Amino acid sequence: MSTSTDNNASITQESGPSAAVQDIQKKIVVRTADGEVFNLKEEVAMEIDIIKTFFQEDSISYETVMPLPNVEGWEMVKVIEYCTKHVELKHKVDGYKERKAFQALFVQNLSTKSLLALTNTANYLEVKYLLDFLCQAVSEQIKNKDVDYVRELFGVENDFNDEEYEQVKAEAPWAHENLNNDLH
Amino acid sequence: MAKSSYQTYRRRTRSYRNWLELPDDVTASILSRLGAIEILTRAQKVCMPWRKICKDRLMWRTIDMRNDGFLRDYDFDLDKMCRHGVDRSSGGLVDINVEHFGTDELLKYITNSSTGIRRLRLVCCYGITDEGLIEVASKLPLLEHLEISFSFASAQSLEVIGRSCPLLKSLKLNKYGYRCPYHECDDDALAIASTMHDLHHLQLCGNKLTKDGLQKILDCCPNLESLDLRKCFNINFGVVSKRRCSKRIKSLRLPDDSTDDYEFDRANRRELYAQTHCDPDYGDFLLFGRSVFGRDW
Repeated sequence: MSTSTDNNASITQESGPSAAVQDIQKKIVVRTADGEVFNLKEEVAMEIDIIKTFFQEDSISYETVMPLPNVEGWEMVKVIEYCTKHVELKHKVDGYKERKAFQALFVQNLSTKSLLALTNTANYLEVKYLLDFLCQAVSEQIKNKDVDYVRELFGVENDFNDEEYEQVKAEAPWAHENLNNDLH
Repeated sequence: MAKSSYQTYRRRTRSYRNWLELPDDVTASILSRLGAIEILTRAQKVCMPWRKICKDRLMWRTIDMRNDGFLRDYDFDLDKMCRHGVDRSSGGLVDINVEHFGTDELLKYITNSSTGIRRLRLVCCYGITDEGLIEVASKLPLLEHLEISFSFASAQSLEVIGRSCPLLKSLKLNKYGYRCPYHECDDDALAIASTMHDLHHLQLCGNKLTKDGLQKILDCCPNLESLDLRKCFNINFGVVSKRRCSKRIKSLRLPDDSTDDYEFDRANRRELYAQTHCDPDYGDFLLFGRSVFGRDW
């Protein structure tokens, strides 16, 4: 009895670990500035260039928890959401409409301030396609809006002084609009 | 309205609250998506940091003068704006889109100062003539993408462009397509076939070419991957020729295919189709009820 058990055990030992390793999805762990810890699927983590580069170093093992001191927890959630969708759509032949619908929802409830913060984060994390999308989203917010509205939206002040204002006016004779209204 | 220097200093430090966090290249990426007209008339007037970014020559490697064709009515001098943008590029211009304005003189100005243009798009540019195109063709040796839609471009200018631009990979030559075209014409097709052998992408919507012209293109452009023949109503595709064509071409759009994603579709764009009672030879060039020869009714 014990022999057969031993035999079974040895058989299990031989075939078990390799099968088990294949089943386990490699996870990459990161910690954001506010101490939140995220377990990312490897294929999603590798979409984020700064993470990819970090773990490509020979001395870094996958057990390491990568610190992301410039990223807030909520931002990481959004980035993971976008990259996960991107990976999913990579394998779809005709994902155009689905991507558009997802993108619309993604930015729907984001304030301008959050959108800007997320853009900054996408730049820092080096996720090019997310950065492109967010830059486009920000530009949509500014498009066709007058200068005062844009300043208010982004909390930017009119910091032109008289001399600079004259310079802008002299340089831009192409629109016969009242430049006074725009700059002051 | 002079401000004291202290107040100016305080304003400057406060104004950086949000945008200083974004690196300049990211801000530039955002602002460049507005198109040249908005950059010049609005974005660069928001604050000094934005103005600095808008003056950088890298912002002007691409000049997108897209507009809906009504800006002329509001006294915008698009020609001056375009020249200003070209000046700011300091010779680094690679990609330019001109819509609803443009003259031969402007085209010369652009090509004289920019020797590395790779993409040129001319849409509804009634002031640009065949002669104008022929004159600047030799200044576009690196051209890879060319679009001339609803603008003058005869077969002759196409030939000259084909010979002067050996790197041309993509051509879009769109016109209005008449359901019952009054005549057939393979001139454009033959010009393309004889001089643009390395084309990968060809969009010829609304062209009057026939099956013969199409065959010539297929024979002489072995690298064609995509071919858009929507509204080319002189071509009658049989089942066999459709199959043969689509085997060779990865993306093939046939004359009667949907125009949902066609940029110049009636529903997708603001312009009206030419009135059907107009002379079809000139009908292509009627837009907004304006004759190309007389400018406005």
